[in-house]
Amino acid sequence: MLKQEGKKIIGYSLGLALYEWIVTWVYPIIIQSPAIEEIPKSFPLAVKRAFGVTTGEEVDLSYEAYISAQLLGRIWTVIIAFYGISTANVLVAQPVEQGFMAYPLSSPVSRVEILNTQIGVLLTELALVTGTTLGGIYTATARFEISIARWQYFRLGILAFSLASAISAYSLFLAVLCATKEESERYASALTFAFYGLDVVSSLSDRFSKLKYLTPFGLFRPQEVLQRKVLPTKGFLVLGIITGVNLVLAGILFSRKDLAV
Amino acid sequence: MIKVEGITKLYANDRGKTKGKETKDIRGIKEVTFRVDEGEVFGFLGPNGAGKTTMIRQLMGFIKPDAGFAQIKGLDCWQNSLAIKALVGYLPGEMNFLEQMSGLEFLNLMSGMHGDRLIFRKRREVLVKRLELNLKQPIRKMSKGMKQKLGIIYALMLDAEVLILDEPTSGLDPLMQKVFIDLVLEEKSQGKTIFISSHMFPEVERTCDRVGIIRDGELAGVEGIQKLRQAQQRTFDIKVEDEGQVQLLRERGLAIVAVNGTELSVQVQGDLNPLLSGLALVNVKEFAQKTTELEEAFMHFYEGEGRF
Repeated sequence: MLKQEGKKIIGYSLGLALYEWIVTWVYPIIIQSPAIEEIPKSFPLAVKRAFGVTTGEEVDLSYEAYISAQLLGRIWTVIIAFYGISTANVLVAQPVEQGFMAYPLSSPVSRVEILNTQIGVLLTELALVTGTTLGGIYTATARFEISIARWQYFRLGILAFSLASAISAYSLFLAVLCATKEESERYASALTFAFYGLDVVSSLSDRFSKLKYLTPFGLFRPQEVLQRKVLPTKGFLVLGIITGVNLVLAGILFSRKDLAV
Repeated sequence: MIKVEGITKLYANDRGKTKGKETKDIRGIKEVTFRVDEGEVFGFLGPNGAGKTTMIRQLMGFIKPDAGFAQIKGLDCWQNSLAIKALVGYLPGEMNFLEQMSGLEFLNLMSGMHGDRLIFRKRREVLVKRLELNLKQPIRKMSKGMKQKLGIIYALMLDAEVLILDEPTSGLDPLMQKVFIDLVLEEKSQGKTIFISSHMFPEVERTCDRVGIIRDGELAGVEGIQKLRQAQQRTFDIKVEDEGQVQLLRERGLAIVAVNGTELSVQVQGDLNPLLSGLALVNVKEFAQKTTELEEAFMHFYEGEGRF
Protein backbone atom coordinates (compact mmCIF):
# COMPACT_ATOMS: atom_id res chain seq x y z
CA MET A 1 0.00 0.00 0.00
CA LEU A 2 2.85 2.35 0.87
CA LYS A 3 4.28 1.73 -2.58
CA GLN A 4 0.93 2.69 -4.13
CA GLU A 5 1.05 5.96 -2.22
CA GLY A 6 4.68 6.64 -3.14
CA LYS A 7 4.09 9.27 -5.83
CA LYS A 8 1.77 11.26 -3.59
CA ILE A 9 4.25 11.20 -0.69
CA ILE A 10 7.08 12.34 -2.96
CA GLY A 11 4.89 15.08 -4.47
CA TYR A 12 3.88 16.56 -1.14
CA SER A 13 7.35 16.19 0.37
CA LEU A 14 9.18 17.78 -2.53
CA GLY A 15 6.61 20.56 -2.78
CA LEU A 16 6.96 21.42 0.90
CA ALA A 17 10.76 21.21 0.85
CA LEU A 18 10.93 23.41 -2.25
CA TYR A 19 8.65 25.98 -0.63
CA GLU A 20 10.81 25.97 2.50
CA TRP A 21 13.96 26.48 0.46
CA ILE A 22 12.42 29.45 -1.35
CA VAL A 23 11.15 31.20 1.79
CA THR A 24 14.40 30.48 3.63
CA TRP A 25 16.42 31.78 0.68
CA VAL A 26 14.60 35.15 0.76
CA TYR A 27 14.65 35.41 4.60
CA PRO A 28 18.16 37.00 4.86
CA ILE A 29 17.25 39.48 2.14
CA ILE A 30 13.95 40.43 3.79
CA ILE A 31 15.37 41.05 7.26
CA GLN A 32 18.02 43.36 5.81
CA SER A 33 15.34 45.54 4.27
CA PRO A 34 14.78 48.76 6.29
CA ALA A 35 11.04 48.61 5.60
CA ILE A 36 10.60 45.18 7.10
CA GLU A 37 9.83 46.45 10.58
CA GLU A 38 7.11 48.72 9.25
CA ILE A 39 5.20 46.12 7.23
CA PRO A 40 3.86 44.04 10.14
CA LYS A 41 2.85 47.21 11.97
CA SER A 42 0.53 48.08 9.11
CA PHE A 43 -1.46 44.85 9.58
CA PRO A 44 -4.45 44.77 11.92
CA LEU A 45 -3.70 43.06 15.21
CA ALA A 46 -6.21 40.28 14.54
CA VAL A 47 -4.56 39.37 11.24
CA LYS A 48 -1.15 39.26 12.88
CA ARG A 49 -2.48 37.02 15.61
CA ALA A 50 -4.20 34.74 13.12
CA PHE A 51 -1.01 34.22 11.13
CA GLY A 52 1.15 33.80 14.19
CA VAL A 53 3.00 37.08 13.76
CA THR A 54 4.32 38.53 17.02
CA THR A 55 1.98 41.15 18.34
CA GLY A 56 4.26 43.00 20.74
CA GLU A 57 5.77 46.45 20.29
CA GLU A 58 8.99 45.07 18.87
CA VAL A 59 8.79 43.33 15.49
CA ASP A 60 10.15 39.81 15.79
CA LEU A 61 12.57 39.23 12.94
CA SER A 62 13.68 35.79 14.11
CA TYR A 63 13.63 32.88 11.68
CA GLU A 64 11.24 31.10 14.07
CA ALA A 65 8.68 33.89 13.77
CA TYR A 66 9.25 34.09 10.02
CA ILE A 67 8.85 30.36 9.24
CA SER A 68 5.84 30.15 11.58
CA ALA A 69 4.10 32.95 9.70
CA GLN A 70 5.16 31.79 6.25
CA LEU A 71 4.49 28.07 6.63
CA LEU A 72 4.02 26.30 9.94
CA GLY A 73 1.36 28.49 11.54
CA ARG A 74 -1.32 28.18 8.85
CA ILE A 75 -0.31 26.79 5.45
CA TRP A 76 1.27 23.60 6.75
CA THR A 77 -1.67 22.75 9.01
CA VAL A 78 -4.11 23.11 6.10
CA ILE A 79 -1.90 20.99 3.83
CA ILE A 80 -1.40 18.21 6.39
CA ALA A 81 -5.11 18.23 7.32
CA PHE A 82 -6.05 17.81 3.67
CA TYR A 83 -3.40 15.10 3.29
CA GLY A 84 -4.66 13.20 6.34
CA ILE A 85 -8.33 13.32 5.31
CA SER A 86 -7.54 12.26 1.76
CA THR A 87 -5.15 9.45 2.74
CA ALA A 88 -7.41 8.00 5.44
CA ASN A 89 -10.18 7.73 2.88
CA VAL A 90 -7.96 6.32 0.14
CA LEU A 91 -6.67 3.66 2.53
CA VAL A 92 -9.97 2.59 4.07
CA ALA A 93 -13.15 3.94 2.47
CA GLN A 94 -12.03 3.60 -1.14
CA PRO A 95 -10.96 -0.09 -1.08
CA VAL A 96 -14.27 -0.99 0.60
CA GLU A 97 -16.38 1.09 -1.77
CA GLN A 98 -14.57 0.00 -4.92
CA GLY A 99 -14.39 -3.63 -3.83
CA PHE A 100 -10.65 -4.26 -3.59
CA MET A 101 -11.05 -4.93 0.14
CA ALA A 102 -12.81 -8.20 -0.82
CA TYR A 103 -9.39 -9.76 -1.46
CA PRO A 104 -7.72 -9.04 1.91
CA LEU A 105 -11.01 -9.86 3.63
CA SER A 106 -11.13 -13.23 1.89
CA SER A 107 -7.79 -14.19 3.47
CA PRO A 108 -7.37 -15.66 6.96
CA VAL A 109 -6.14 -12.31 8.27
CA SER A 110 -8.39 -10.60 10.81
CA ARG A 111 -10.14 -7.34 10.03
CA VAL A 112 -8.27 -5.64 12.87
CA GLU A 113 -4.94 -6.72 11.36
CA ILE A 114 -6.02 -5.42 7.96
CA LEU A 115 -7.05 -2.08 9.46
CA ASN A 116 -3.86 -1.91 11.52
CA THR A 117 -1.85 -2.34 8.33
CA GLN A 118 -3.68 0.58 6.77
CA ILE A 119 -3.17 2.64 9.94
CA GLY A 120 0.53 1.78 9.81
CA VAL A 121 0.69 3.02 6.22
CA LEU A 122 -1.16 6.21 7.15
CA LEU A 123 1.10 7.01 10.11
CA THR A 124 4.22 6.21 8.09
CA GLU A 125 3.09 8.62 5.39
CA LEU A 126 2.45 11.36 7.95
CA ALA A 127 5.86 10.74 9.53
CA LEU A 128 7.51 10.95 6.10
CA VAL A 129 5.77 14.20 5.12
CA THR A 130 6.43 15.75 8.56
CA GLY A 131 10.01 14.51 8.46
CA THR A 132 10.55 16.02 5.03
CA THR A 133 9.11 19.31 6.27
CA LEU A 134 11.69 19.29 9.06
CA GLY A 135 14.39 18.11 6.67
CA GLY A 136 13.57 20.99 4.32
CA ILE A 137 14.00 23.49 7.16
CA TYR A 138 17.25 21.85 8.36
CA THR A 139 18.84 21.72 4.93
CA ALA A 140 17.64 25.17 3.82
CA THR A 141 18.82 26.89 7.03
CA ALA A 142 22.17 25.08 6.76
CA ARG A 143 22.55 26.12 3.13
CA PHE A 144 21.72 29.78 3.79
CA GLU A 145 23.67 29.86 7.08
CA ILE A 146 20.78 30.64 9.38
CA SER A 147 21.28 29.45 12.92
CA ILE A 148 18.34 27.55 14.46
CA ALA A 149 17.73 25.43 17.59
CA ARG A 150 17.47 22.10 15.79
CA TRP A 151 16.35 20.10 18.79
CA GLN A 152 13.41 22.43 19.35
CA TYR A 153 12.40 22.07 15.71
CA PHE A 154 12.52 18.32 16.19
CA ARG A 155 10.15 18.68 19.15
CA LEU A 156 7.86 20.79 17.00
CA GLY A 157 8.06 18.05 14.36
CA ILE A 158 6.74 15.52 16.87
CA LEU A 159 3.92 17.88 17.82
CA ALA A 160 3.14 18.41 14.12
CA PHE A 161 3.06 14.65 13.58
CA SER A 162 0.71 14.35 16.58
CA LEU A 163 -1.64 16.95 15.09
CA ALA A 164 -1.58 15.25 11.69
CA SER A 165 -2.26 11.89 13.36
CA ALA A 166 -5.22 13.26 15.31
CA ILE A 167 -6.86 14.72 12.18
CA SER A 168 -6.16 11.55 10.21
CA ALA A 169 -7.46 9.36 13.05
CA TYR A 170 -10.91 10.95 13.18
CA SER A 171 -10.96 10.96 9.37
CA LEU A 172 -10.20 7.25 9.41
CA PHE A 173 -12.92 6.63 11.99
CA LEU A 174 -15.39 8.46 9.73
CA ALA A 175 -14.10 6.47 6.74
CA VAL A 176 -15.02 3.26 8.59
CA LEU A 177 -18.32 4.65 9.88
CA CYS A 178 -19.74 6.10 6.67
CA ALA A 179 -21.18 4.15 3.79
CA THR A 180 -19.26 5.89 1.02
CA LYS A 181 -15.94 7.66 0.51
CA GLU A 182 -17.75 10.79 -0.63
CA GLU A 183 -19.81 10.90 2.55
CA SER A 184 -16.86 10.32 4.89
CA GLU A 185 -14.70 12.90 3.10
CA ARG A 186 -17.53 15.40 3.37
CA TYR A 187 -17.94 14.89 7.13
CA ALA A 188 -14.19 14.83 7.81
CA SER A 189 -13.67 18.01 5.77
CA ALA A 190 -16.58 19.79 7.48
CA LEU A 191 -15.32 18.81 10.92
CA THR A 192 -11.77 19.89 10.08
CA PHE A 193 -12.92 23.24 8.69
CA ALA A 194 -14.94 23.78 11.86
CA PHE A 195 -11.89 22.98 14.01
CA TYR A 196 -9.71 25.19 11.86
CA GLY A 197 -12.24 28.02 12.01
CA LEU A 198 -12.36 27.77 15.81
CA ASP A 199 -8.58 28.02 15.89
CA VAL A 200 -8.53 31.10 13.66
CA VAL A 201 -11.26 32.80 15.71
CA SER A 202 -9.50 31.92 18.98
CA SER A 203 -6.37 33.68 17.64
CA LEU A 204 -8.16 36.90 16.68
CA SER A 205 -8.88 38.24 20.11
CA ASP A 206 -8.39 37.43 23.77
CA ARG A 207 -12.18 37.34 24.10
CA PHE A 208 -12.29 34.20 21.96
CA SER A 209 -9.03 32.66 23.11
CA LYS A 210 -10.78 29.94 25.13
CA LEU A 211 -12.11 28.47 21.88
CA LYS A 212 -8.65 27.03 21.24
CA TYR A 213 -9.47 24.35 23.83
CA LEU A 214 -12.22 23.03 21.52
CA THR A 215 -9.97 22.32 18.56
CA PRO A 216 -6.90 20.14 18.05
CA PHE A 217 -5.36 22.98 16.03
CA GLY A 218 -5.31 24.99 19.26
CA LEU A 219 -2.56 22.73 20.55
CA PHE A 220 -0.29 23.55 17.65
CA ARG A 221 1.36 26.94 18.17
CA PRO A 222 4.67 26.62 16.31
CA GLN A 223 6.17 29.98 17.18
CA GLU A 224 5.50 29.46 20.90
CA VAL A 225 7.07 26.00 20.82
CA LEU A 226 10.10 27.19 18.84
CA GLN A 227 10.79 30.26 20.96
CA ARG A 228 9.93 29.01 24.42
CA LYS A 229 12.20 26.04 23.91
CA VAL A 230 10.02 23.78 26.03
CA LEU A 231 8.62 20.34 25.41
CA PRO A 232 4.95 20.67 24.41
CA THR A 233 3.94 17.74 26.63
CA LYS A 234 0.29 18.69 26.95
CA GLY A 235 -0.03 18.89 23.15
CA PHE A 236 1.54 15.44 22.64
CA LEU A 237 -0.68 13.95 25.30
CA VAL A 238 -4.04 15.38 24.20
CA LEU A 239 -3.41 14.82 20.49
CA GLY A 240 -2.18 11.30 21.29
CA ILE A 241 -5.40 10.59 23.20
CA ILE A 242 -7.55 11.92 20.32
CA THR A 243 -5.58 9.70 17.92
CA GLY A 244 -5.72 6.62 20.14
CA VAL A 245 -9.44 6.86 20.94
CA ASN A 246 -10.40 7.35 17.30
CA LEU A 247 -8.21 4.49 16.06
CA VAL A 248 -9.49 2.10 18.73
CA LEU A 249 -13.10 3.02 17.90
CA ALA A 250 -12.37 2.58 14.19
CA GLY A 251 -10.91 -0.88 14.92
CA ILE A 252 -13.94 -1.97 16.96
CA LEU A 253 -16.33 -0.69 14.30
CA PHE A 254 -14.40 -2.19 11.40
CA SER A 255 -14.30 -5.63 13.00
CA ARG A 256 -18.10 -5.67 13.49
CA LYS A 257 -19.36 -3.77 10.50
CA ASP A 258 -21.13 -5.24 7.47
CA LEU A 259 -18.71 -4.83 4.60
CA ALA A 260 -20.59 -5.15 1.34
CA VAL A 261 -17.55 -5.78 -0.85
CA MET B 1 -19.99 -29.02 3.69
CA ILE B 2 -22.02 -25.80 3.26
CA LYS B 3 -25.19 -25.39 5.27
CA VAL B 4 -27.46 -22.37 5.05
CA GLU B 5 -30.49 -22.27 7.34
CA GLY B 6 -33.19 -19.61 7.17
CA ILE B 7 -30.73 -16.85 6.43
CA THR B 8 -32.16 -13.35 6.08
CA LYS B 9 -30.39 -10.12 5.30
CA LEU B 10 -32.36 -7.05 4.36
CA TYR B 11 -30.48 -3.92 3.48
CA ALA B 12 -30.92 -1.09 5.98
CA ASN B 13 -32.05 1.42 3.36
CA ASP B 14 -34.96 -0.75 2.43
CA ARG B 15 -36.11 -1.88 5.83
CA GLY B 16 -38.61 0.94 6.17
CA LYS B 17 -40.04 0.34 2.78
CA THR B 18 -40.41 -3.39 3.24
CA LYS B 19 -42.90 -3.14 6.09
CA GLY B 20 -45.91 -2.48 3.91
CA LYS B 21 -45.05 -4.40 0.75
CA GLU B 22 -42.45 -6.97 1.60
CA THR B 23 -42.02 -8.83 -1.65
CA LYS B 24 -41.75 -5.86 -3.98
CA ASP B 25 -39.26 -3.65 -2.16
CA ILE B 26 -37.04 -6.32 -0.68
CA ARG B 27 -33.32 -6.04 -1.23
CA GLY B 28 -31.08 -8.76 0.04
CA ILE B 29 -32.16 -12.29 0.87
CA LYS B 30 -34.99 -13.74 2.90
CA GLU B 31 -35.16 -17.06 4.72
CA VAL B 32 -32.83 -18.87 2.35
CA THR B 33 -32.16 -22.51 3.22
CA PHE B 34 -30.03 -25.03 1.31
CA ARG B 35 -27.02 -27.27 1.74
CA VAL B 36 -24.11 -28.26 -0.45
CA ASP B 37 -22.56 -31.66 0.14
CA GLU B 38 -18.83 -32.35 0.16
CA GLY B 39 -17.47 -32.77 -3.37
CA GLU B 40 -20.57 -31.27 -4.93
CA VAL B 41 -20.76 -28.40 -7.40
CA PHE B 42 -23.73 -26.22 -6.57
CA GLY B 43 -25.03 -23.55 -8.92
CA PHE B 44 -26.73 -20.52 -7.44
CA LEU B 45 -28.70 -18.92 -10.18
CA GLY B 46 -30.78 -15.86 -10.53
CA PRO B 47 -31.16 -12.66 -12.49
CA ASN B 48 -29.10 -9.60 -11.62
CA GLY B 49 -30.15 -8.10 -8.28
CA ALA B 50 -31.82 -11.31 -7.07
CA GLY B 51 -29.54 -11.67 -4.04
CA LYS B 52 -26.75 -13.96 -5.27
CA THR B 53 -23.89 -11.72 -4.17
CA THR B 54 -25.59 -11.03 -0.82
CA MET B 55 -25.66 -14.80 -0.23
CA ILE B 56 -21.97 -15.03 -1.08
CA ARG B 57 -21.14 -12.18 1.31
CA GLN B 58 -22.88 -14.18 4.04
CA LEU B 59 -20.81 -17.26 3.22
CA MET B 60 -17.61 -15.20 3.27
CA GLY B 61 -18.50 -13.56 6.60
CA PHE B 62 -18.46 -10.06 5.11
CA ILE B 63 -21.93 -9.28 6.45
CA LYS B 64 -23.84 -10.44 9.49
CA PRO B 65 -27.19 -12.14 8.94
CA ASP B 66 -30.34 -10.55 10.39
CA ALA B 67 -31.65 -14.06 11.09
CA GLY B 68 -30.58 -17.64 10.39
CA PHE B 69 -27.04 -18.83 9.82
CA ALA B 70 -24.57 -20.06 7.25
CA GLN B 71 -21.96 -22.69 8.04
CA ILE B 72 -19.01 -24.13 6.18
CA LYS B 73 -17.64 -27.40 7.55
CA GLY B 74 -19.67 -26.84 10.72
CA LEU B 75 -18.20 -23.37 11.35
CA ASP B 76 -20.42 -20.32 11.49
CA CYS B 77 -19.52 -18.02 8.62
CA TRP B 78 -19.85 -14.82 10.68
CA GLN B 79 -18.54 -15.92 14.07
CA ASN B 80 -15.71 -18.10 12.73
CA SER B 81 -14.97 -16.13 9.60
CA LEU B 82 -11.18 -16.39 9.97
CA ALA B 83 -11.26 -20.18 10.15
CA ILE B 84 -13.67 -20.24 7.20
CA LYS B 85 -11.34 -18.16 5.07
CA ALA B 86 -8.52 -20.63 5.59
CA LEU B 87 -10.76 -23.21 3.87
CA VAL B 88 -12.11 -21.11 1.03
CA GLY B 89 -10.89 -19.91 -2.35
CA TYR B 90 -12.97 -16.90 -3.33
CA LEU B 91 -13.61 -15.11 -6.59
CA PRO B 92 -15.50 -11.82 -6.16
CA GLY B 93 -18.14 -10.77 -8.65
CA GLU B 94 -16.46 -7.46 -9.39
CA MET B 95 -12.82 -7.40 -10.40
CA ASN B 96 -11.40 -4.43 -8.54
CA PHE B 97 -7.69 -4.46 -7.98
CA LEU B 98 -5.10 -1.89 -7.01
CA GLU B 99 -4.44 -0.68 -10.52
CA GLN B 100 -0.79 0.26 -9.98
CA MET B 101 0.13 -3.33 -9.11
CA SER B 102 1.14 -5.98 -11.61
CA GLY B 103 -0.71 -9.30 -11.65
CA LEU B 104 2.31 -10.97 -10.08
CA GLU B 105 2.52 -8.43 -7.26
CA PHE B 106 -1.15 -8.94 -6.51
CA LEU B 107 -0.83 -12.72 -6.39
CA ASN B 108 2.29 -12.48 -4.22
CA LEU B 109 0.46 -10.17 -1.82
CA MET B 110 -2.51 -12.52 -1.55
CA SER B 111 -0.28 -15.56 -1.35
CA GLY B 112 1.47 -13.96 1.63
CA MET B 113 -1.85 -13.24 3.32
CA HIS B 114 -2.79 -16.91 2.94
CA GLY B 115 0.46 -18.19 4.45
CA ASP B 116 2.65 -18.40 1.33
CA ARG B 117 2.71 -22.17 0.79
CA LEU B 118 4.84 -23.72 -1.94
CA ILE B 119 1.81 -25.26 -3.60
CA PHE B 120 0.37 -21.80 -4.30
CA ARG B 121 3.28 -21.03 -6.61
CA LYS B 122 3.09 -24.39 -8.37
CA ARG B 123 -0.62 -24.11 -8.97
CA ARG B 124 -0.26 -20.47 -10.01
CA GLU B 125 2.23 -21.38 -12.71
CA VAL B 126 -0.04 -24.09 -14.10
CA LEU B 127 -3.08 -21.80 -14.05
CA VAL B 128 -1.19 -18.95 -15.73
CA LYS B 129 -0.30 -21.27 -18.61
CA ARG B 130 -3.82 -22.64 -18.92
CA LEU B 131 -5.44 -19.20 -18.85
CA GLU B 132 -2.70 -17.54 -20.91
CA LEU B 133 -2.19 -14.48 -18.73
CA ASN B 134 0.88 -12.25 -18.59
CA LEU B 135 1.35 -11.63 -14.87
CA LYS B 136 4.01 -8.98 -15.36
CA GLN B 137 1.53 -6.65 -16.99
CA PRO B 138 0.27 -3.78 -14.79
CA ILE B 139 -3.34 -4.37 -13.79
CA ARG B 140 -4.38 -0.93 -15.08
CA LYS B 141 -3.49 -2.12 -18.58
CA MET B 142 -5.48 -5.35 -18.30
CA SER B 143 -8.83 -5.83 -20.04
CA LYS B 144 -11.91 -6.99 -18.12
CA GLY B 145 -11.32 -10.56 -19.27
CA MET B 146 -7.68 -10.47 -18.17
CA LYS B 147 -8.68 -9.20 -14.75
CA GLN B 148 -11.22 -12.00 -14.53
CA LYS B 149 -8.46 -14.51 -15.30
CA LEU B 150 -6.32 -12.98 -12.55
CA GLY B 151 -9.19 -13.38 -10.09
CA ILE B 152 -9.68 -17.00 -11.15
CA ILE B 153 -5.96 -17.73 -10.71
CA TYR B 154 -6.11 -16.23 -7.21
CA ALA B 155 -9.15 -18.32 -6.22
CA LEU B 156 -7.84 -21.58 -7.63
CA MET B 157 -4.14 -21.30 -6.72
CA LEU B 158 -4.96 -21.63 -3.01
CA ASP B 159 -5.90 -25.31 -3.40
CA ALA B 160 -8.79 -24.63 -1.02
CA GLU B 161 -11.29 -27.30 0.04
CA VAL B 162 -14.19 -25.02 -0.83
CA LEU B 163 -14.47 -22.68 -3.79
CA ILE B 164 -16.92 -19.81 -3.81
CA LEU B 165 -17.09 -18.23 -7.23
CA ASP B 166 -19.26 -15.22 -8.05
CA GLU B 167 -20.09 -14.93 -11.76
CA PRO B 168 -16.82 -16.67 -12.69
CA THR B 169 -16.98 -16.50 -16.49
CA SER B 170 -18.04 -12.87 -16.69
CA GLY B 171 -15.85 -11.13 -19.27
CA LEU B 172 -14.18 -14.32 -20.51
CA ASP B 173 -14.23 -15.16 -24.22
CA PRO B 174 -15.86 -18.49 -25.24
CA LEU B 175 -12.49 -20.26 -25.45
CA MET B 176 -11.54 -19.22 -21.94
CA GLN B 177 -15.02 -20.06 -20.68
CA LYS B 178 -14.35 -23.61 -21.84
CA VAL B 179 -10.95 -23.62 -20.12
CA PHE B 180 -12.64 -22.41 -16.95
CA ILE B 181 -15.28 -25.13 -17.12
CA ASP B 182 -12.51 -27.73 -17.56
CA LEU B 183 -10.72 -26.29 -14.51
CA VAL B 184 -13.89 -26.49 -12.41
CA LEU B 185 -14.45 -30.09 -13.50
CA GLU B 186 -10.85 -30.94 -12.54
CA GLU B 187 -11.32 -29.35 -9.13
CA LYS B 188 -14.54 -31.30 -8.75
CA SER B 189 -12.75 -34.54 -9.60
CA GLN B 190 -10.34 -33.77 -6.72
CA GLY B 191 -13.27 -33.69 -4.32
CA LYS B 192 -13.52 -29.92 -3.92
CA THR B 193 -16.84 -28.43 -2.91
CA ILE B 194 -17.77 -25.63 -5.29
CA PHE B 195 -20.41 -22.93 -5.03
CA ILE B 196 -20.95 -21.00 -8.26
CA SER B 197 -23.23 -18.02 -8.56
CA SER B 198 -24.29 -17.19 -12.06
CA HIS B 199 -26.99 -15.83 -14.30
CA MET B 200 -25.70 -17.85 -17.26
CA PHE B 201 -27.32 -21.26 -17.67
CA PRO B 202 -24.71 -22.97 -19.91
CA GLU B 203 -21.77 -22.70 -17.48
CA VAL B 204 -23.92 -24.01 -14.66
CA GLU B 205 -25.43 -26.76 -16.79
CA ARG B 206 -21.99 -28.11 -17.66
CA THR B 207 -20.46 -28.02 -14.21
CA CYS B 208 -23.09 -28.25 -11.49
CA ASP B 209 -24.69 -31.25 -9.81
CA ARG B 210 -27.53 -29.26 -8.32
CA VAL B 211 -28.89 -25.82 -8.84
CA GLY B 212 -30.70 -23.36 -6.59
CA ILE B 213 -32.53 -20.45 -8.11
CA ILE B 214 -33.04 -17.19 -6.29
CA ARG B 215 -35.65 -14.63 -7.27
CA ASP B 216 -36.35 -11.37 -5.42
CA GLY B 217 -34.19 -12.55 -2.53
CA GLU B 218 -36.07 -15.80 -2.00
CA LEU B 219 -34.92 -19.28 -2.96
CA ALA B 220 -37.42 -20.58 -5.49
CA GLY B 221 -36.13 -24.12 -5.31
CA VAL B 222 -33.18 -26.48 -5.49
CA GLU B 223 -33.10 -29.19 -8.13
CA GLY B 224 -30.70 -31.71 -9.63
CA ILE B 225 -29.27 -30.57 -12.94
CA GLN B 226 -30.50 -33.71 -14.71
CA LYS B 227 -34.06 -33.01 -13.72
CA LEU B 228 -33.80 -29.45 -14.90
CA ARG B 229 -32.26 -30.52 -18.16
CA GLN B 230 -35.16 -32.89 -18.73
CA ALA B 231 -37.67 -30.23 -17.89
CA GLN B 232 -35.96 -27.53 -19.88
CA GLN B 233 -38.23 -26.21 -22.58
CA ARG B 234 -36.48 -25.47 -25.84
CA THR B 235 -37.82 -23.54 -28.80
CA PHE B 236 -36.76 -24.27 -32.37
CA ASP B 237 -37.30 -21.98 -35.36
CA ILE B 238 -37.77 -24.11 -38.48
CA LYS B 239 -38.42 -23.28 -42.11
CA VAL B 240 -39.88 -26.00 -44.34
CA GLU B 241 -40.52 -26.18 -48.09
CA ASP B 242 -44.29 -25.59 -48.21
CA GLU B 243 -47.36 -25.13 -46.04
CA GLY B 244 -48.40 -28.75 -46.54
CA GLN B 245 -45.29 -29.78 -44.62
CA VAL B 246 -46.28 -27.40 -41.81
CA GLN B 247 -49.62 -29.18 -41.62
CA LEU B 248 -47.82 -32.55 -41.63
CA LEU B 249 -45.75 -31.49 -38.61
CA ARG B 250 -48.87 -30.20 -36.89
CA GLU B 251 -50.49 -33.60 -37.35
CA ARG B 252 -47.48 -35.27 -35.67
CA GLY B 253 -48.61 -33.61 -32.43
CA LEU B 254 -45.67 -31.21 -32.09
CA ALA B 255 -46.21 -28.11 -30.00
CA ILE B 256 -46.18 -25.48 -32.73
CA VAL B 257 -46.42 -22.09 -31.06
CA ALA B 258 -46.16 -19.79 -34.08
CA VAL B 259 -46.57 -20.17 -37.84
CA ASN B 260 -45.72 -17.61 -40.48
CA GLY B 261 -46.18 -19.16 -43.94
CA THR B 262 -43.52 -21.87 -44.14
CA GLU B 263 -41.75 -20.72 -40.96
CA LEU B 264 -42.76 -22.17 -37.62
CA SER B 265 -41.64 -22.24 -34.00
CA VAL B 266 -41.80 -25.52 -32.14
CA GLN B 267 -41.48 -25.97 -28.39
CA VAL B 268 -39.97 -29.17 -27.04
CA GLN B 269 -39.83 -30.21 -23.41
CA GLY B 270 -37.36 -32.97 -22.57
CA ASP B 271 -37.16 -35.63 -25.30
CA LEU B 272 -36.14 -34.35 -28.75
CA ASN B 273 -36.98 -37.54 -30.67
CA PRO B 274 -40.60 -36.67 -31.62
CA LEU B 275 -39.35 -33.47 -33.26
CA LEU B 276 -36.50 -35.21 -35.07
CA SER B 277 -38.70 -38.00 -36.39
CA GLY B 278 -41.21 -35.39 -37.59
CA LEU B 279 -38.50 -33.38 -39.36
CA ALA B 280 -37.30 -36.55 -41.10
CA LEU B 281 -40.59 -36.51 -43.06
CA VAL B 282 -40.22 -32.97 -44.42
CA ASN B 283 -37.69 -30.91 -46.33
CA VAL B 284 -36.04 -28.62 -43.77
CA LYS B 285 -34.73 -25.33 -45.20
CA GLU B 286 -33.61 -23.66 -41.98
CA PHE B 287 -33.23 -24.88 -38.42
CA ALA B 288 -32.19 -22.87 -35.36
CA GLN B 289 -32.54 -23.28 -31.63
CA LYS B 290 -33.49 -20.24 -29.63
CA THR B 291 -31.32 -19.70 -26.59
CA THR B 292 -33.41 -20.37 -23.55
CA GLU B 293 -32.95 -17.65 -20.99
CA LEU B 294 -32.25 -18.90 -17.53
CA GLU B 295 -35.22 -17.14 -16.02
CA GLU B 296 -37.47 -18.60 -18.71
CA ALA B 297 -36.13 -22.12 -18.20
CA PHE B 298 -36.78 -22.06 -14.48
CA MET B 299 -40.12 -20.35 -14.81
CA HIS B 300 -41.25 -23.17 -17.07
CA PHE B 301 -39.91 -25.74 -14.67
CA TYR B 302 -41.72 -24.37 -11.67
CA GLU B 303 -44.86 -23.47 -13.57
CA GLY B 304 -45.03 -27.17 -14.45
CA GLU B 305 -44.78 -28.09 -10.82
CA GLY B 306 -47.39 -25.53 -9.82
CA ARG B 307 -45.00 -23.66 -7.54
CA PHE B 308 -45.49 -20.21 -9.02
